[in-house]
Formats: sequence, structure tokens, C-alpha cells
Amino acid sequence: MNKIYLGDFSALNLPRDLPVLVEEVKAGLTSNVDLSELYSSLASEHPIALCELCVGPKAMRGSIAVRQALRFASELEKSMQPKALYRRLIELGKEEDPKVAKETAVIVINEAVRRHPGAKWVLPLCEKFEDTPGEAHLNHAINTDCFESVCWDHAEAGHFEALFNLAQKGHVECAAAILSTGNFQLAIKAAAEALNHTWESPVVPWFYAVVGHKADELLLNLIPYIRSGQAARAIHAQSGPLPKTQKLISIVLPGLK
Amino acid sequence: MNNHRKSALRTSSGRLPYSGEFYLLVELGPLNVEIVGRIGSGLRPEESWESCLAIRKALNLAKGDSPLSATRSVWDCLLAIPRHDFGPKLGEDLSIMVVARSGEKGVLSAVGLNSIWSITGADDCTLLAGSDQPDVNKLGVPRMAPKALEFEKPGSVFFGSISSTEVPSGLEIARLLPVKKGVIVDE
Repeated sequence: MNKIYLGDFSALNLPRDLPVLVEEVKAGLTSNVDLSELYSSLASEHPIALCELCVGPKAMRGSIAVRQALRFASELEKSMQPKALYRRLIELGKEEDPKVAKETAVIVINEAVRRHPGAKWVLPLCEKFEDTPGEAHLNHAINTDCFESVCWDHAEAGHFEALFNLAQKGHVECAAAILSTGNFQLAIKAAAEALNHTWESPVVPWFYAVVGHKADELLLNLIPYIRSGQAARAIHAQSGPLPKTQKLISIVLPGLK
Repeated sequence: MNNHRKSALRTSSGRLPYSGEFYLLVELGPLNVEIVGRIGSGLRPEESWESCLAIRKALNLAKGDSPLSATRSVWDCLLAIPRHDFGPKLGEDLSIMVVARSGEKGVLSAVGLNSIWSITGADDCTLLAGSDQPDVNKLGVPRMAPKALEFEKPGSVFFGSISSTEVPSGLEIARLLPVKKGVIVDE
């Protein structure tokens, strides 16, 4: 095997011989050679050459090259702002087959949001390439400190489907974020989904935190969607300061198991 | 019962403007006590909500046959709450305004506020307490009940702000003043 593929650059004078390296890598990618050692050695010995190879003006193009480059995202971020880096990688991933290009873009977005869960600059990328805009970003932001702000960012951008999908997994923050946009009907449905998934979802505190005592009127519309007695009891316990909600839930509570 | 609130706090800025806010109207025959406050800044809504519920439960037990005695009772109830019920900061982050009214007069007292305004009209706001009133400004459950201010007009409307001395905005005033004929107040 070519020594270069094993990370031995003794035959090259980098960065002067970068064009030679690019040709070697192109050939390697075409023949499906494992280039991980080459990239790893470049990252440790010639980071500028790695950057040139992955995202420079004459960088390798195509899905495989981009996937390879993504493995060294942390190194590449040392030489390029993340916002520009991931945009560049998406551009480099453009293939003749738009389906492959889109898949590559989504892979790039996933890496971007994994490394930068709170970043706002990924929103236009999500919108452009994801089937359900915001899905990857929101999923990566769960259990991070920025989850709430990411929910709000995506709500503001109108990415309701992704928020609704996560509400269905019990994430009440998503319902509250939808509520903050004034989309009350969808927010109610999302809250109901959150409750029916996780009966202890703190729907009342989150709705109150967003709209104050107006939550009392809004939550009346939630009650018909409640399926379980546990969820109803949780609402009852939380809704002390909201008399209308508490009154209605008291009426329906005996009918729910 | 008149549901229109006559006391309010400036909502906090940010995504969750009402997080940790509580409001309570205790009706004691001919007099009533409005209690409005906030606790748990920076906490998740469900955490501060627990503190709010505990505070509401305790203050609902307030009694009294005059605005002054009702106000004292509110503070007694507040001071009797176990500190851990106030949440992780043990009540050190509490702001609260208590306004007791009878048919003839009223009593106001507060802690944790940077300003308290009396509002008598759309363009008529009077600063009752500013940032130079340590007793009022100091955040947190006090050691003893704070001084109370008596006022003559029981219909007076009060507006408190935790962090600023800015004059209440038109919208903030509109939310507090009674609805005039033909004017819809955004409540």
C-alpha cells in the first residue's frame, strides 16, 4: 500500500506538495482505501494541509470526502469558524445525485449540532436540508443547558413539526415554545401529547411561565385531550392558582382511570 | 368578586416572563388582600411553581378585620413557612407586595422591590418607593414584617418592579386600570 495512505509523508514536502497529496487522496477515495491514518497523521503533523485538503479552495469534493473530513471536525474548527466550516462542507458534499447531496448535508448538520447544540446559525441549514426542519438540532439539544433556548429558536423559525414530535416524547418545553409564538391550538395539542406520554410533565408551570394567568383559559382546552387519570391528577395538583382549570379537571377526574 | 387585579409586578424579560410569579386574592368579608410576588429566578418553571404553591397555601390562611391586621397576618403566615419550602435559595430570592383594602382605606407593604408606583390614570403614576428604600428593596424573606404604608383611596392601583425604577409603560398601566367602556384591555 502507498505509504502516504499510512500517514507517512516523508516523500512529500508539505504544504508545497499539497497538489500531489490531493491527487493521492482522490485516488484513494476512488478505490475505497481506508484513509483514516492519513487524515490522523495530517491532523497531528500538518493541520494546515488537512484543512486545505478538507475545506480549502481545492478541497476534496463529494459525500465520501466530506464524511471523512467530518471525523476531524475538531481539528478543522481550529482553522475555520464553525458556521463557515459546516456550510463549506455541505457545499463540498454536493453530488450529481441530489438525494445523496441531501443525505450528506444532513450528516453535516448532525455533526454541527452535536458539537454546537446551542448554535443559532444551524437554523437556516436545518430549514434548507432537513425533511423535518429542526429535528436533528432539537434532538441533540435534549439534556443540554440550551435545550429551552433551542426550542424557542425553532419555534420562532416556525419549525413546529419537529417541536411537536418531541413533545410527543414528553418534552413540555416544546409545547411551551410553540405557545410563545401564539399558536395556542397547536401548543395545547403538543402539551396533551407530552402529558399522555409522561403524565408528570409540568405543563401547568410551563404554560403559566409563558403567558401568566391567561394559562387558566388556555388549559381548559387541554383537558378534553387528557387520556389518563394520572395525568389528570397531576394537572389537578398543579393547577391550584388557576381556578377555572382546577374546577374543570375536578369534574372530569372521576371519569378517568 | 371583582376579578380585576389592582396590584401587579413588572414581568421579567426573557422567554418565561411569568416564571416564579404568584398572585393571590384573600377575601376576608368586607376587606381583601392582594398578594403578588415572584420567587425562583433562574429556576425551571416546575421548580419555582412548587415554591409558589407553598406560599399561596400558607398565605391563604391570613386573617384580619382591618387592612392593618390582615397585612400583619399575611406576614406572620409568610414568616412561618419553613425555609426549604421557598426552594433552593430558601427564600432569599423572594419579592412580594401585599395590598390590603377595606371600603375606606388600605395598607401596602413589600420587600424585594426596586420601585413601587401608585397609578391613578393613564398618565398619572406616582413613585411611592424607589431604590433608596432598603427595607423595601432588600430581596428575600425578611426577619420581621416590614413597615406598612397606609393609603386613603381603597381603589388605588399599585405596580411594583423588582429590578428597575422605570415608570410603568402604557401597556403595563392598561393591564391594571379598570376596563373603560369600549376599550378592551389585554388581560
